[in-house]
This record gives sequence, C-alpha cells and structure tokens, in this order.
Amino acid sequence: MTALPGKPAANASPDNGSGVDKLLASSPGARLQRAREAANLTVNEAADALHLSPGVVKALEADDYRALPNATFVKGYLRSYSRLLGIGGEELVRSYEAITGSGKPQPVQPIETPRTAPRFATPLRFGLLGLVVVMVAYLLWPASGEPEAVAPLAEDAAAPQGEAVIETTPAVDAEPVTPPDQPAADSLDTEVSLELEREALVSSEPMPEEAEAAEAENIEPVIDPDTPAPEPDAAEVMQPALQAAADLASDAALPDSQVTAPQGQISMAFTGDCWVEIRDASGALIYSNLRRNGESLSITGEPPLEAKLGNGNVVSVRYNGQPVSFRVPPHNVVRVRLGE
Amino acid sequence: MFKRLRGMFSTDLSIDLGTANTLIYVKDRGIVLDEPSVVAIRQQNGAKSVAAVGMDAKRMLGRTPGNITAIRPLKDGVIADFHVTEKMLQHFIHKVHENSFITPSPRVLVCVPCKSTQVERKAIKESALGAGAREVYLIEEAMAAAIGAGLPVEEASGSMVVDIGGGTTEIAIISLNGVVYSDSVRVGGDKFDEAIVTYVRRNYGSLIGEATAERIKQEIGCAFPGKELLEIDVRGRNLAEGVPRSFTLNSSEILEALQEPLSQIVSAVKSALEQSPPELASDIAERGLVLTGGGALLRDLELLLAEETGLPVIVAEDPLTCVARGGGKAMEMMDKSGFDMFSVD
Repeated sequence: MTALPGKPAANASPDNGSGVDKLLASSPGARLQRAREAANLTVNEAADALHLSPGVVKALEADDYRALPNATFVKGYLRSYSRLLGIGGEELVRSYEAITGSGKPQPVQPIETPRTAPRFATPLRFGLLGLVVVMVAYLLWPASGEPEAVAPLAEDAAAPQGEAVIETTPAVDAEPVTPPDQPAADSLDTEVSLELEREALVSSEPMPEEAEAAEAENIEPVIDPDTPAPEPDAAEVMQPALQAAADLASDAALPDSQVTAPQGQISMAFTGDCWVEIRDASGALIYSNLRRNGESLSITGEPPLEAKLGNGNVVSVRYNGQPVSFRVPPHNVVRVRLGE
Repeated sequence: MFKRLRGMFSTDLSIDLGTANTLIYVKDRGIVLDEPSVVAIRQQNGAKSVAAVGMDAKRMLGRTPGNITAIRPLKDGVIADFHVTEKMLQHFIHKVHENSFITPSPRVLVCVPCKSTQVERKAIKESALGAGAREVYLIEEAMAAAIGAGLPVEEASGSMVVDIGGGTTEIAIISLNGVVYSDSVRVGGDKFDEAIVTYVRRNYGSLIGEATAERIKQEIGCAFPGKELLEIDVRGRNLAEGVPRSFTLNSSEILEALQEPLSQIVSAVKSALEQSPPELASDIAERGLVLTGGGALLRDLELLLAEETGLPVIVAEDPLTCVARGGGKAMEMMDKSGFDMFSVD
C-alpha cells in the first residue's frame, strides 16, 4: 500500500537524511509495524484480533489515512491496535493528530460557582432598569412629540376660520355670491393646504378622512373666508368650502358654529337606487334608508349634517336650496358634510 | 417581549440533561458546565428551598439529615420530578450566564432519549421553558452523540452509535442526518451501580451505598476478563452484625456482578444490528460501531462488544461530553439550515 502524498511521514523517503528517518521511524504506522513484528504477528492475525479487515491494518501501518474512514475511527483503530500490541496508544494518537491536524475536543473548562447573592440588590437592579427605560423614552421622544409641535399651528389656522364660519354661514342664505379675488386665493392656497396636510398627518381626529374626501379645489376657497366668494361658480363650491372650514375649525370653533348655525335642510333627488344615511351635529343617526329611483328626500337637522350616500352617481343634493357638488370616488360611496 | 429582550443578552445553550450528569455546551466556549444532576432540597417549616445543586448536592447523597433530601430529579433519562428539574436547570442556566446583568433567556437545545414518550418530552420542554429558556429544541440523544463523536452523519453511509448514559443506553444507526434505527434500553451506569450493591449484599452480607458502588465501578469495574486483577478496599454495614466492616473486592467479582446489565446492552446492540438494513449493516461492519457516554469508560467494554458482535468497536474521544458537544454542533448546523433539521417534537 502506498503512502499518502502530502503527509510528512509518508512524503519522506528513507535516504533523505537522519531527521526524516527519525520522523518516519516515529510515525504511528511504522511503530505499529515494528511492534507487530516484534510480537510475531502477521497482518492477518492482527486484523482478526481487531475485527478489522487486513486492508485497514495495512493502511494504518503505512499511514495511508486516505484509505481509512474519518478521524474518529482512525483514532479508535490506533488505540485498539496499540493495546493489542501493548504499546502506548495515546502517544500514537497524538502523533496521528499532529500529522493530520485533527485536534482533540476542547476539555471541560470549569466555571466559577455563582455567588449566592446577586451582584446588585434587586431594588438597585430595577432602579437601573427604570433609568434605562426613561433614557430610551427620552431619546425616542421627538418622533412622538411631533404632534405637539404642530398643534399650535393648527389652532392658528383654525382660529380665523372659526370666525369665518360665523360670517359665511348666514351668507349662504342671504348674501349673493360676489366675484372672487383670485390671486389672493392662490397665494394663500399653498399655505393652508400645507397646514391641512400637516394636520391630516398628525391629527387622530376624523380630519384626514374628510380632508381627503373634500377635493383640493374645494378646500382652496376655505383660505379666504374674509373675501366672501372664492370661485366664479361659488354657489356650487360654497358648501364644501364651509364644510372644510368647519373641519379645520372643528376643535376650536365647534361651539361657535353650533351656537350660530340654524337648522339645515338637505334635499336629495334620486335617479337610481341609493342607500342614504344622515347624521346631525351630535352624530346621531337621523335618517337611514334605501331610496329608489325617482324618489326624493328632504331632511332637516342641526348642522353640520353628515350624509353618507351609497351611490353618489345617482343623487343630486341641495343644502338649504343650494346645489352641492361632490366628487364621486371609484367605489361610489360618498360622504359629505354640509352646513359648516 | 421581555424574554426576547433578555435573549439578546444570552447565549445559545446545548444541554445534555442526563440522569447522572448535566452538561452544558456554549457555542464558541465549549463545555462550560459538567455537574451531577442532583438537587438537595431543604425543608424548613413546611417550606421547601434548594440547598445545593450539582457537585455540592451529590456529596450530600445518602448523607443528609432529616430536613434535607438530596434527590436526582431524572430517572431513566426522563424527568421524575418536574419542579426540581426546573429548579436545577434554572440554577445551571444562571451559572452559565454568571456575569450577565439581566436574567438570561437563552435558546436551548435539549437532548432526549429516542424512546421517550411525548409526555416525557413535553415535560423536558416545559421545564426548560420554566427555567427561563426562550425557545427549546429537542434532539435525539443518539443523534447528538453521533455528531459529538465526529461520525460522518451527513454521509449516505451507516454509522452506529451506542451511547451508554446514566439511565439509558441509546443505540442508533444514522445515515444522511437521520436516524434509521434507534432503540433505547433502560440500562446504564445506575444499573451497574445497583448490580454492584446487590452483589456485595448477597456475597458479603454488607450494605454499601450507591456512591460507594459508583466508586467501585469507576476504579475496578470491567466488562471483559482482563490480564490484570484490580482490587479495592471498601467499607459497608454488615447486615448480620449491624456494624461497619471493611472488605476487599476485586475486578473479576465486579465483572461477575455486572453480567446482567452488560448482557442486556449486548443483546440490544445485537438486535439493532439484526434489524439494520443490509447496506447500512455492511457500512457498520466495515468501520465499526462507536461507544459514547459515561458507560463507555467502563474498562474493556469495547472488547466485550467487539467479541460479542465480531465488529470493530471504538470508544469515542471524551465520551462523557459527546452528547453535549454534538448538541452544540447540531445547533450550529440547525442555525445554518433550519431548525427542523434534527429537532423532534
């Protein structure tokens, strides 16, 4: 059996010098072979005694580990072979490990016995933990503190509009709509829609939903409550404008609008089947039913009135005699707030 | 949630929860704990408290006053006393995480005997969870032993491992990361001790304790008639006279005493070989079977098995820690390729 190339012991040929000779002579295989010969055993006898095949015994003696199974087995074979021959098995295994570089498993590293008392007294531990929690909360604060920073802004925006509601609500009934001051509306436009957006982002109130529902163009007029008529066809836009104004002002100006608002009347004409729900200012359901094609409906209640229409395409809505326009979303369900 | 947080401060553990010894292996650190699975319970005014665990408790075995009981919470490889096992695991897990500030909550892999029932496995899982583990994975002891012994478990060739623990002997034939055949007999180091106690009582009319029996087994016990005859002086209480007497035992007597449990192990190994598929049997015949566990340290046990089976028998390196080391390796392998690789329910 040929020796495995690449292994130091196997690589060396006897005439390479005394150092190599020594290495070769001290290789596990060579020592096993010498011991076996000294004990007057043949390879076959040794293999029989070890319950191994003669091939394995020959491979062990030639240090040909490629022909042998993995290190676990080879070490086992070396131990039992050396025991049979009465030579030091552990020493052979060590030199085998040195040749193949397969290490011994890590020995048990004893660890210290734990102190019976914890290093920190329990209250101290909890105190420290609490401190950490407080610090983490402080670090995370800016994210959650945002709404507070914006809140005053929202109030600022709402305050003038609260006044506006008071002014414009009667205007709906009495005053005719005058032509708008377009540039003023535009300049203010960006400001307020910004505020609106911010408020929609941070507010947990019903605001976002409504800001979404009311179209951008509907909201635009809101900004210039003092200029009485925002758009050329303001008659149509008026109601959403009022509504949006009330939306913005809902926290600050709600009491005011409640005090000043009269009873509002919604009238609807249907050109198809439509589910209708109407709630008054207190949120109470004052009407809910399915209206059929050709029917009409007239409901009076305390504004702002909120109407939910199952199919916005088939309804024409008037509030206090004024036609109301609204955008119909793809799912056809329309929510409008009227009389704000 | 707190468990997850605490988990960040804990290391994954592989626990060999054995009848005789509990070993804990930590990734990158090796075996960090090797202690007897013994707990001493102190009873005071009706309230129970843990007096000692591990090595300290073992010294108390059979030497306790009335208010302390030293017990071994595991019997035959499975939990006999649920709460005490939990306490013991808790103690060991804390001991491993000695220098951590936050109560540890590690992921834990525990080895279970392959013949343990669902109830027994659940008990082990629950007690590990109760001891603070975040997640518990179970793996068959024989599989862990084979991995720990360095057998080529992932190859498509049969490897046979015989793990002789304190309570059970696990025999398994493994191929392609799976157990092809496994058997578990409830014979192990404890049965050897009992056999020695019985033998001494019958032949010398003297009572010796289990700790003494274990010492006899370790010092002069052997499984196969050897060339040298070893002797040991022991003291036991003479049953007839009622006083302690000293006498001398030799290794051939112990060999005789151990005949019964040894023959049970031999027959279990033989029946495993009989039932193994022929291809795997030929692999095993070619390379031999591997002994692990504390029982493998019994002198000349490999000779007995080699003689009985006609196969090469090898004692794994550091047989006591094979299961724990294998569990640790298995955990690393599972980390790479999914936790359903070895784990059993």
